[in-house]
Amino acid sequence: MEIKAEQLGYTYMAGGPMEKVALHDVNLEIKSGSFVGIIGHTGSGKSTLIQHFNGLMKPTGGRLLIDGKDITSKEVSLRELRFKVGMVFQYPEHQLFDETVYDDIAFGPKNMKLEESEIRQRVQDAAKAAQVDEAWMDKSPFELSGGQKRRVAIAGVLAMRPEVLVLDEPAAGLDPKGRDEILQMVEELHRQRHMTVILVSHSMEDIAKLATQIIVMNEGTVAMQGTVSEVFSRGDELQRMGLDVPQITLFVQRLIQKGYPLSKDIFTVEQAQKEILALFQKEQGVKPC
Amino acid sequence: MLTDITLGQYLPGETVIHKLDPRTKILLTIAYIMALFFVNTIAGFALCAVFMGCILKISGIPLKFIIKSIKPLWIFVIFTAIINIFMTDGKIVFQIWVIKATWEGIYLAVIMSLRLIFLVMGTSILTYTTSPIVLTDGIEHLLGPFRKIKVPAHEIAMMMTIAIRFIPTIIEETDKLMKAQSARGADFESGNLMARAKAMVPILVPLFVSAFRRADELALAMECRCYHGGDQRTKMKQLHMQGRDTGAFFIAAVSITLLIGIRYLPGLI
Repeated sequence: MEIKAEQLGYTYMAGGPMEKVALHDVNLEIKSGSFVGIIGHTGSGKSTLIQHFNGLMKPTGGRLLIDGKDITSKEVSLRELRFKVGMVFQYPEHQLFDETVYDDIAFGPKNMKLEESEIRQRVQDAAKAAQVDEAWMDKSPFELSGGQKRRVAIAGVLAMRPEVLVLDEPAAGLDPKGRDEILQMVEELHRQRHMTVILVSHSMEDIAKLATQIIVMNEGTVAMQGTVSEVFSRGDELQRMGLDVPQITLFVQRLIQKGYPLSKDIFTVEQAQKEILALFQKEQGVKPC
Repeated sequence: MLTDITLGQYLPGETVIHKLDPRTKILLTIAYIMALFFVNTIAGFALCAVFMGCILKISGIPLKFIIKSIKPLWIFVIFTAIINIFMTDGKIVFQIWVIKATWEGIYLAVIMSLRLIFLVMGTSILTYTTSPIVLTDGIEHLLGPFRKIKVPAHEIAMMMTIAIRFIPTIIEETDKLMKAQSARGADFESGNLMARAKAMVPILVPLFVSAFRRADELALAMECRCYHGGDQRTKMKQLHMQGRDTGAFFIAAVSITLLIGIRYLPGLI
């Protein structure tokens, strides 16, 4: 499923005294099966942008094309679009409402009017993917802990079997373990099920580790777009936008300044480890332990 | 979708009307409402319209905001008008079967509709020119004397302040939840009444849960700062009556006397 924005714009309360331009001239393309990270500081229009992807918001200017079709045209059923583009909002655990975890996960598939057996199948499948314990199924979602609730909420979106998964800060407010689990889950969904994933995050490290493409939003429009190394090689510009490059990249840059012959394209701790150890080996003939 | 609701409709300003003591404004609004019930002639309402016009002019509130505040009223106005037209005895204008419209009825309907409209106009000027916080402060002061008979004036005012403060938060939260559930295919717009009521469950349950959570957090935060109501509590911003308040009382007294006078005057002459 391909998402393409052409000169997309969105203005809140257009024409009124409180008019506010949230997005303008947004041009982007998200290919099927890619993993795209969206970064940008608070108020740069990230959340407004992603809500266009499943038609929760409709552009006030320009077009948004899904598989070549304009989402405002009559050919596109918004309901069906929402089943195809799964949206996990910030703090998704706040949307849980049903009596049992099972029923809550089944809310989406039920709205799709599927057969009972199909719903059961999908719920179990989604629960497994989101690491929701079988034992929680008959509990009330309100009995679970914060991290557990979040996984149930994500399972609720996965149960619709979307082709594209959009996640807005899925790891916000979780402890390091919960964070790793959620991000690992997202990675597996991308790798094993070939889902297109769009991840909004404030953590440059997470984006560097997971994404293949990055879109940088600034003041309501796309400031940069490209591969991880293309975007993170423009550190100065990012800093001017209130963003940054991953910590490890800064660290490696300092080493390069001190005269160590390291690659500039290092964005994760794992890459750095490999390169630095290789350097040790070469220079001193020391075997890495 | 929910941002169109105008609640807590305060319009900040620097006019005399804005600066009046909230107690003055509340008392005068009450007096105005009572006076409205004495007005029963078109001439009386014309005078009323002149007063209202002057206050609007001074306070600088655009007429369109006043019209917006009257808009939701039209169902009431039509309903009372119809009841009045057809239920009053008198000279018959036309008759359909047993239903008959009378001249007296039409006159009464006009009076009642005008009364309703002016009532809402007056009270909306109060809320347009007074911030909710100042308003509750005024109410607290006015309820002060009733503390002798164990009316928890301060607590009532605090509850109102908190309730008003949370309206925008809850609207925002509702909007977020509607989006999140629509993203899972929830449908709020089609189906019969039962289906639509049922569709609200996925919104209302999390909304209540979060309202309770917020209330709990707020209570804790207030306790942490040793909040307690009652007698020893002092205020940072004291309310003081000033010259303009005396002036307002004087003008209001004259206007209200005129309004009531117009009812009895023709009989006296």
